Amino acid sequence: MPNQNLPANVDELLQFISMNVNSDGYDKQLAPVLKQIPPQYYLQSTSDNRDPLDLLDQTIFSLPYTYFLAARCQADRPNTARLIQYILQFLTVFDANQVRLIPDKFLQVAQGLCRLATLYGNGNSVIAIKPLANAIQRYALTPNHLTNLHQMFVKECLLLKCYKQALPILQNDITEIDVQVISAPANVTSQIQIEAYKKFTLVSLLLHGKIAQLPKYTANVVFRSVKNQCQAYQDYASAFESLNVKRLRNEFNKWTDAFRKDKNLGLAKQTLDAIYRRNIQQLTQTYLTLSLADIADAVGLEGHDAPKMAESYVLRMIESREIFATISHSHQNGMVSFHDNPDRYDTSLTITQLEEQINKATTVSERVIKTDRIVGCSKEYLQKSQHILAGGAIPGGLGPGDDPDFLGGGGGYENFIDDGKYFS
Amino acid sequence: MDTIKAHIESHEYAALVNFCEDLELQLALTPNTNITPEDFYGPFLLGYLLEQDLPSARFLWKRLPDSIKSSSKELRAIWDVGAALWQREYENVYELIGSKTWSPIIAPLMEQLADNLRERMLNLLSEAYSSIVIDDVVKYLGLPREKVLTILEERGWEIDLSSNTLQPKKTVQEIQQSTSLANFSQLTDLVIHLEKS
Repeated sequence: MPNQNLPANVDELLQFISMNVNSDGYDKQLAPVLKQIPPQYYLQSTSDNRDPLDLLDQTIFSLPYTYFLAARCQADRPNTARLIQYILQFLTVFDANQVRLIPDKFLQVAQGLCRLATLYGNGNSVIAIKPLANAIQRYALTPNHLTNLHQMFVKECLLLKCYKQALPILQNDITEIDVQVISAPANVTSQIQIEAYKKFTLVSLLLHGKIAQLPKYTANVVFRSVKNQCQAYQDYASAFESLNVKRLRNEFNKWTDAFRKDKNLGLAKQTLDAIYRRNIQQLTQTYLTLSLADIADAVGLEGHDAPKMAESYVLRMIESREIFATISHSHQNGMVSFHDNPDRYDTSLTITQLEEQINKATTVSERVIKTDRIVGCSKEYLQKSQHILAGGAIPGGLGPGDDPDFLGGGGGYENFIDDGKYFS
Repeated sequence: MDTIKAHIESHEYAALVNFCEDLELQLALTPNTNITPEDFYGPFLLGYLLEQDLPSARFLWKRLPDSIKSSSKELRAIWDVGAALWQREYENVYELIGSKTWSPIIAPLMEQLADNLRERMLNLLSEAYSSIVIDDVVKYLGLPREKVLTILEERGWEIDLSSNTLQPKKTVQEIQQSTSLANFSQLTDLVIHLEKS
């Protein structure tokens, strides 16, 4: 659209907007014009001194409204309290179809809200969380869509310690991704992956007692850099796996500074506690009955009240159903007898759980089939497969089907790294 | 404020927590001087504790503005109870609850918290012990010895004063068994799915 046709002031702009209010107009006429208009227009009042934010209907004119709000959010000195009100109102009534046309502007509004909330609430404000959560639910096409708002929202939740609010949003499997948010997976390891691996190590010690294997599709570079950069965690994990309390304590003391630097000290401390429980669990596999004193001795508890401590560990583990046991004080010293899991999995509860899992599996497999078909139809895939048929090789790797190791053989990720370039 | 009271009176703690979660966000936006932080955050925090959602309670405490934390002694005291629960120092929990006079809105919640904990402990003890020293039970329940003995006698625990122990009565949980037509329809759905792929 040539420049001379652009509205010259807010009055004209508003007029132009109201002339183009139909579903066709948004996409073709309105959006390109709004894009070209200099931002200061969106900050002005009309000639009779009224605020465009009051004049436009938030639902019918969601698209232009987003532009106005985005510009206001970027302004130097926004009228915080008032603007927040407008945005909150907008987030509850916006027309999702219109807003999806301009994801970048909508993101600016959302970010603006967070910024304003911080200004308004002295750096400790939770205003933005709930409205954003609701807005994302309406903005995403289905709960399985990842939008450009997700990352920002989750970060905000983390900053404000509202972890619970982030969960419903994150619980959905993300299978559909908006084109705007794809960031190409790079061949270098990011610091985030490293930090995540460190936490992953400690958490999997807590849960499984050893480092759970990373999935096979993890990029090779990640394996390599993890080996190089997480020495402390690797050493610590092998100490934990040895189930030797003394050794673990030594490693802990050795790496305390590293843990503290990574802000993982809390997790690491929990593992110090977990090793006793892991040890007690091991005992259940060997013994039927043991005295509390013997347990304390075997798991490495020390001091004169060690039997008492062992008792409280055992009690705690019974409550969380980590072990099944009964403690008896009928003789002088406490005795513990270990049992098998009394649940014989023959109740209707088990059936319900089973059904839930089956349902989940069915949904996932349906999605896989669907995605498989989409990929099978895509131009890139067809080109590549033709290339293979013609005798060429895909540069940089083998297809999964060509690799006998991939399905059956599988020698763990060690040899996976060595021969290389599956997913580079 | 009335909604909070209503939820407390009807013992709907999950609803209380949900309501407070919303209210927290609302209050951040439009401060309401009629609601003092204690009246609101106190029940909120306790609601989490009653729902046994300790992590949420902890994060709520962490995100409370410092000004409120330092000005309200009662909130501090409520969190002390929460911290004791977190540390599994149950004996301490009862003592902290009992040693304070709580404001009218908090008091019934605290009582409920102690009752819930006692019930939980009783179930756990009867599951975990075939015999237990009386003094230990007294600690776990936070009640005077005489009272403990009467309660447990009512529940059918055997008291052996010569060895100073109690034999808990095992609670047998009813196992529900049911099959219905729904199971069959589930099964057919599954078979159809398997055939399809």
